[in-house]
Amino acid sequence: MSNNENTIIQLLHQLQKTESFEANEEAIAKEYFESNLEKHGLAIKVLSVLGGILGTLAFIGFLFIAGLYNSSTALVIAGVLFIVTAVFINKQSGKLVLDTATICIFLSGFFLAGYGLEEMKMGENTTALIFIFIALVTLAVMQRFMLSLVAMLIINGCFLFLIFNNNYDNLIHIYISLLATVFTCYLLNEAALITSNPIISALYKPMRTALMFSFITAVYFVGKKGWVHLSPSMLWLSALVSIGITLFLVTKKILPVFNITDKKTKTIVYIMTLAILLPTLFAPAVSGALMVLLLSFFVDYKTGIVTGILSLIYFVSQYYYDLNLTLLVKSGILFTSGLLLIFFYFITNKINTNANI
Amino acid sequence: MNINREHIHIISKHSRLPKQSVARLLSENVYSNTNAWQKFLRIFFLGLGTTFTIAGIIFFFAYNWAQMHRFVKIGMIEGLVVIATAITLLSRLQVLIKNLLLTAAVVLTGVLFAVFGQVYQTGANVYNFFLGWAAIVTIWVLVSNFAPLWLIYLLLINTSVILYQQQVAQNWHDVLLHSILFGINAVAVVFFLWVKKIRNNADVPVWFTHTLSLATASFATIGIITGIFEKFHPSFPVLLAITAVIYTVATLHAIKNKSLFYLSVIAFSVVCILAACMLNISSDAAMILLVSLFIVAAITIIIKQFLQLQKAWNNEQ
Repeated sequence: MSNNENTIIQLLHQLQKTESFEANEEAIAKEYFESNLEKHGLAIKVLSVLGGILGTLAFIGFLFIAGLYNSSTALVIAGVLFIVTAVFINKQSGKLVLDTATICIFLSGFFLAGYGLEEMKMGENTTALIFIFIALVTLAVMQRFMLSLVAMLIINGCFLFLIFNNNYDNLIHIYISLLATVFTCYLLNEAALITSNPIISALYKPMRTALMFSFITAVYFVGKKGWVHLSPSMLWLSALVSIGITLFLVTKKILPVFNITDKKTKTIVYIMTLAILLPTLFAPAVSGALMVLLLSFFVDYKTGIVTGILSLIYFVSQYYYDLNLTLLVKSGILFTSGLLLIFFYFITNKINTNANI
Repeated sequence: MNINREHIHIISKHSRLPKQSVARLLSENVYSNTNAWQKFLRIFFLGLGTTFTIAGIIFFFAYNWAQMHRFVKIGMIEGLVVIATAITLLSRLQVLIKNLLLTAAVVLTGVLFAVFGQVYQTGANVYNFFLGWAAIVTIWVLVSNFAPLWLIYLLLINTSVILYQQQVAQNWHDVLLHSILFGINAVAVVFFLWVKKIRNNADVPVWFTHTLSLATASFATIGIITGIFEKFHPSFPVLLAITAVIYTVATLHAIKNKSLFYLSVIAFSVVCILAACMLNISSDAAMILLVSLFIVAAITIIIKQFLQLQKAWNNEQ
């Protein structure tokens, strides 16, 4: 047994000293050893995805130039075969090395099947529903990170397509609210989910990433003016859930971390939170990004933190860019908000100093 | 013993560790603690507050103040620049606040230049504006040694070069432009990695060197791909040679420092360049299929090699 495996077994023994529970030491050591071998960080993941996407694009280019898209039935069959092959390879080998190839085959499969179904005049909604079904079956069959993530993102893409293609643009608010709720429950119930059943446990990490990216993509549609036809009077609907969740997070989760019991301090924190959140009632993308950032920081989910920060910067800029006010009024709003935030910095410092005492 | 998320997930998967215990372990060892939250909130409020305030000031001067006398306009901005730098220099505030104030002063200098250009209709080319801005703030950037400020500074220099080619040196070939940009950013990366090596207390965050390296590799890749497809230009072999040298040095550095990031960036850049070479030979269907297969096969082999390398590094530890 190497040092690496020793570390986790030592930890296990340490835990078993305080409470008795059964554990399969061999399986733990084996999985830890394998996970260390595949501890590759973001760089390799991004490399495999980029390779997969570039390969797919070149393959699609080949199909068009070669004109191999005449038979719709052949296209659908080829598409399904591609998808099955990708899932089969992933399930059998489970090796990270093959991620690029499987992503490329998987995506090409969806493209071929989609193109074939379109040629068959199957209807766009039916095609989207078929895609959702295939992606769900994929998730049930295998739970490797990359392909599961791609499958879940395809499901999200299909839902967005169904909403906008059928001109139910305002339904996006319900979709965003649902995603926000599921994402929050998912992050805050990590312990319950990873101890529930093997499939849910194995899907935990890709599902978390997929939910986060799906949520950010969905709020993007309400964060950029003119992308879709949304009724301005209904914008607050999307923001409401994000604001509610952030308030819940601050009062029930973050305040306990600081051990704040003093009523006066609590009131100050509530006022500060409301002062930041209420202006975002008509900027649902901003409140959404803020929610992702705080939730991710709470559970120390790094990809979520980085995405939250970048989205927050983008959505705030986009909001002010789209705002139909004179530069002078915009300047006033920005300047006042800036001073208020700096004021909050000093208050937070004071609260922190008191908490440390 | 440092318990991380992976330890907890693996033990939970192969044991009957109760849900409550998993929750407690996560909360005590993985989730952000009081210190992390204090640091986060400080940076969040101060960073966002400063950005909003500066944006407010920029919007204020962008508004067309027909009635305001030019002396008042320019005087106000100069006043703000003086106040920001004076506080940085004379106060006993935290280093982070001082650095943010200096960043504000740098941005306000740009506003000052813009207003000056607007008032006096100096007819300056836009590249002059960025170049002048970069030149004037150089000392502040050097003194602060603050990564975000360095990033703004390099952004100004890159923008100046791009605009210079668009507005003045229109005869510059795209390959030459990308070679220059590649050179500037490569020098910056080497410089910062060197500073990090010789001075332990130097604040050179990883995100900063990674962002710069990405920009450097992007300029090299775009430049070489442009050179492959366009008519021959003398700068092309020079760019090829410099890129080969820099990539070799970067690969050696990455292996020595066990960084897969640099290796991945270089590998992806080389794959793109080779794919472009193939497409330059022919762009018929067979070649495009070959390119598709090449990309997938090349990336797969590269990832396999990286994983072996990682395994060797892990064993060394």
